[in-house]
Amino acid sequence: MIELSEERHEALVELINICFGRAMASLAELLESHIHLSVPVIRSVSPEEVIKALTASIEEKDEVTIVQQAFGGEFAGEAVLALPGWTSQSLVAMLTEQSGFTSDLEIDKLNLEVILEVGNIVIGACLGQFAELLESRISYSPPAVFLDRITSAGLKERLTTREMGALLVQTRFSHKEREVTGYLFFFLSQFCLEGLFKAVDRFIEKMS
Amino acid sequence: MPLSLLLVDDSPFGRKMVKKCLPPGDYRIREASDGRECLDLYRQEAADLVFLDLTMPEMDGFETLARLKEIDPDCRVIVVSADIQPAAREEVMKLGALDFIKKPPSSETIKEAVARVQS
Repeated sequence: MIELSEERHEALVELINICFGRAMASLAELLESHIHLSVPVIRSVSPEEVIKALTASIEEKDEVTIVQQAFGGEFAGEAVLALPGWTSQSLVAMLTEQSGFTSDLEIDKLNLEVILEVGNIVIGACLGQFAELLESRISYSPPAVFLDRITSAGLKERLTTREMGALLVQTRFSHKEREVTGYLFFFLSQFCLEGLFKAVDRFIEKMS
Repeated sequence: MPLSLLLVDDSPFGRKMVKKCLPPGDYRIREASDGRECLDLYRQEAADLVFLDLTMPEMDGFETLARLKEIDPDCRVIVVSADIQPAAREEVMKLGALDFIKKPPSSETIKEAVARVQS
């Protein structure tokens, strides 16, 4: 398991808070609405706990849409935006209502594009801010969307981090009027934590 | 007389960042890690300036600000938050905040906030 000192933990929580705030501002702009943010949780998890932590957060455990994006650089890992089934439908409805889209024929394609765009914006804004604050550089792999209502077992198959211990960063967001609740996870594998910790230490020195 | 400050943030690092950005001066600093603690401390003794975070567990910064204004309508609050959505900014200004500073704060923005209260 990954050891995280109290000072690094506090700094990482604050960093994620700032990055997530930026990501939600981008999403709110897209939705033309306000998104409620929750306090991020950061903890070290064993390989077995990675999937457990992810599925435990989602109320409807058997129905989830995920956007998954790997990133690399000084520190590498995987970002996962998990949206319970009703959330992906609400997001698609909100965004298509704004654009006035009416055809049912292309609804699957539209769903895919909308969720991919949401994932891109949320993950990109969050990681971009993270890299900026840590004065580091992150490269991205193209995001992948799994629109089908996949099961916990299916989820396990999709996540490449399943063989590694990870630093799990979890944040939740919600919307007042529509049923929108989502979770953002960063899985950072053990072997790349040294790079992350060096960058966090630089941030601590600069800011405190 | 030292300037009395109340720093409200569930993140100790968040409070540390504000303290680091304070210009040199004579301060009496009290810290609260949530909204309820902030209200308790303010009831015990008013502060010249409150630096308030928005995203906190239990009682968030919006509710804390509204309640602070009920206790003391003249209470001076500057929100320091990562929630940079325009709607969040509008709401806190409507609730009576003096200003909104996005995280991470800079020495300039904190210095301006303190100068505003001192003047």
